[in-house]
Amino acid sequence: MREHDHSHGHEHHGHGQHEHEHEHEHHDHDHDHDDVLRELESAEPGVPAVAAGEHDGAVIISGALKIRAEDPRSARHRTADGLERIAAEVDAAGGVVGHIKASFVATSYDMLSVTEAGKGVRLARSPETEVKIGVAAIVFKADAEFVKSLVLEALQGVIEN
Amino acid sequence: MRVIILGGFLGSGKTTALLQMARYLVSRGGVVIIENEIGEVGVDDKFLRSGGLAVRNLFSGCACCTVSGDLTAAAREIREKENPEFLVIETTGVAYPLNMRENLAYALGVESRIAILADAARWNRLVGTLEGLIAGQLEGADAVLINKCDLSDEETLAKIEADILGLEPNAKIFRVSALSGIPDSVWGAATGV
Repeated sequence: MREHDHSHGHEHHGHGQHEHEHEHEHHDHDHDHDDVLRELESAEPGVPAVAAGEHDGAVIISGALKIRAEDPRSARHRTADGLERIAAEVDAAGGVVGHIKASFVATSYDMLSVTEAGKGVRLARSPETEVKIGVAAIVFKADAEFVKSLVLEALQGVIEN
Repeated sequence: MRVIILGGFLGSGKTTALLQMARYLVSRGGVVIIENEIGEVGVDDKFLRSGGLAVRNLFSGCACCTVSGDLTAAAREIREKENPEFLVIETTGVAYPLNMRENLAYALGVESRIAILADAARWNRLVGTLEGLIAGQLEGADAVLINKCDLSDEETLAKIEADILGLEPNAKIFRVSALSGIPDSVWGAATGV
């Protein structure tokens, strides 16, 4: 079996209120990843959360943001622009992009109601769409704090002014 | 339960190819996917689920090392509770699939087939900067799909093939473009199904 350096650690920066570091042992998974994920996902709406880790020479940044958007397509464009900026900055700094991915889930709410037979169905649509964005950036030959700041900036750039 | 490990470097097109491989396999039996993502936030799993596939997550570590125990536990549970015809494991882009095959063989007594995606568009740059990782990922590969062939010229593709065979002489090599669609004949040869 191959032997590799599987050192693996991470630190999490929620919305400026929480910070911790820990190391993981090889083949040991009874640790706090679930907690980190919960913290990422439970960040306040409109406040990006970012966690940084390293694995086998790769910098791994996870980010999450929830917003309410009047125009989700515009938010998706801003997300795409943000990913491109991360890649460009990593490249300019001499890093190697593994991948920079985002999930973009937009949920809108429609309500259909009937109060009287033969009078049609009333449709009410919520004015805003709930958007959840998850970002996974894996890069090599780059500083974790630097890449984390880029992901944070990208997520902040998604928020409508 | 036949196990297929789909590996390859980050951005090589594993998830796009996996959607097509899953469609090929679903027409031949039940498929469960284990999706391993190294970050805290899943991206690929949501994409695969939106395509109606049965997906089990392994987050926050690499199934060839830091969460190898989770991988074998998940595979054992899937075999005991669902026993699908096919279990497909999509690795992280930094995984060494041979480690996973050996771990699964040791823990469960199952043989796995390894199919690797290689990124033709970035091959030369990646081999130049991350040679150890790229070489390690090819180790033990039964099939290597050189993806994004439409973005490379013949000379580059010939060099990639030579590089791959130099690293893993037993691998069957296929030139593909996952975006344009990978033919069933390739999946048949790559998966042995």
